[in-house]
Amino acid sequence: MPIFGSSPSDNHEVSLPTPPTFTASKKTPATIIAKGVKLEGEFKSQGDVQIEGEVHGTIQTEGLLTLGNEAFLKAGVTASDAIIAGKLEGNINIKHKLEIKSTAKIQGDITCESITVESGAVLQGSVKSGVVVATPKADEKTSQPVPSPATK
Amino acid sequence: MNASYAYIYDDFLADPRFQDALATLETRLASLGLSGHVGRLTLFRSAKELVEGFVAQGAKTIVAVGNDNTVNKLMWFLPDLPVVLGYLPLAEPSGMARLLNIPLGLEACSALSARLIETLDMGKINDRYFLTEAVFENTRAQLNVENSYKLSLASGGSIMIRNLGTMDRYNFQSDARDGLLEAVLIPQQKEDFGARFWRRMQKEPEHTQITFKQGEIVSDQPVEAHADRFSVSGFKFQLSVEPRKLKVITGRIMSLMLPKQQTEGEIKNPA
Repeated sequence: MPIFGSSPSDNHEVSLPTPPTFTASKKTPATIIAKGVKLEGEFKSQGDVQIEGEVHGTIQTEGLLTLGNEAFLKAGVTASDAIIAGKLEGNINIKHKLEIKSTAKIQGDITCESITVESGAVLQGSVKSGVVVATPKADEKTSQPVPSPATK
Repeated sequence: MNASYAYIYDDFLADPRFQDALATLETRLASLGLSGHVGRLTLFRSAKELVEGFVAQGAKTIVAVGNDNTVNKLMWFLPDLPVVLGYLPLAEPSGMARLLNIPLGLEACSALSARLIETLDMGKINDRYFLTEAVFENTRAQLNVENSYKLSLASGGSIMIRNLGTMDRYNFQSDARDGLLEAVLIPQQKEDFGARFWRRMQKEPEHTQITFKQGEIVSDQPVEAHADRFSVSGFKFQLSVEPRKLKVITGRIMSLMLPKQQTEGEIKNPA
């Protein structure tokens, strides 16, 4: 039966793919906190999170967390992977890879599986890498890191 | 006449300028077998009573004939009725029609005839439904999300709560089938052109974007919300999403190139 001129009683209910959006980037994070915005409280996400603004509280995500060089976090952070270029006061628990840029200033304890630190970064606190961190799902409570037999 | 269709004409169509267009439209609908009940919105006639009357007579498709304001007059109660919404835009504003990919004018009959139905989420601002977006402009209000965290704009700005997309600016579409609302916070620009240009070169995002199911806008000062084509003022607004609430005949399938291996969205031609 052709599309046009079909019987008025026919219902063609379709499930369409996501319509194209104006934003061209294919890797746009699910959550963006831009400069000039302040987040307070307990934030949980299942996707990538990019922070350029200010956060007070806790950040928990199952994806990649990116902190811009003008971002300020006074928060505990739990993520699968992270790239930190800004200022952070709080403990960091990263399941896989943590990358600390030269502009980063971190005051807190770091636990991760692998770590890369650029020259110029400021770290105040303990660093434990080669540790397997169980990243909780967005609707579960944060669990404690489990030391792995692997050495740094 | 097809009793399952009911056409709701907006009152501005009584103007003599639209008579020829309406006559052509009605001829086209008759040729497609889509003629149905006709009701006209007037100042002293309740749109809800008019539509409920047609539903009681067996109408299953309610077609708004006019412009976005016509749809807006039906939208506050239509999602609660067991009907499909159709739209024949004949005049501006027609931003909603663009988001639904329904052509302006007589060509909209093609989309109506194809009867490709999407089930869309509806946003809710307090007790009122909205389909496209709710905008709070020039405000220092804060957005509290799911009793977990709150977002505030340090120097004020605009907060847009999107469901289907933006009607008038940029033709920005969101996904109205994901069971979520999208909040976009745009700070008031205090930087000079050079600073903004540098940030764009560095590809730093200029707006904040989150998704949520339930939240509220709270402000010390009265703030005006513009949702679809209506406005409401207040200090506090409850925001929520009702997933898969409204069935709408759209033209969106005609503009999407579907890959062959995709099983969702295929139009199966009956033998």
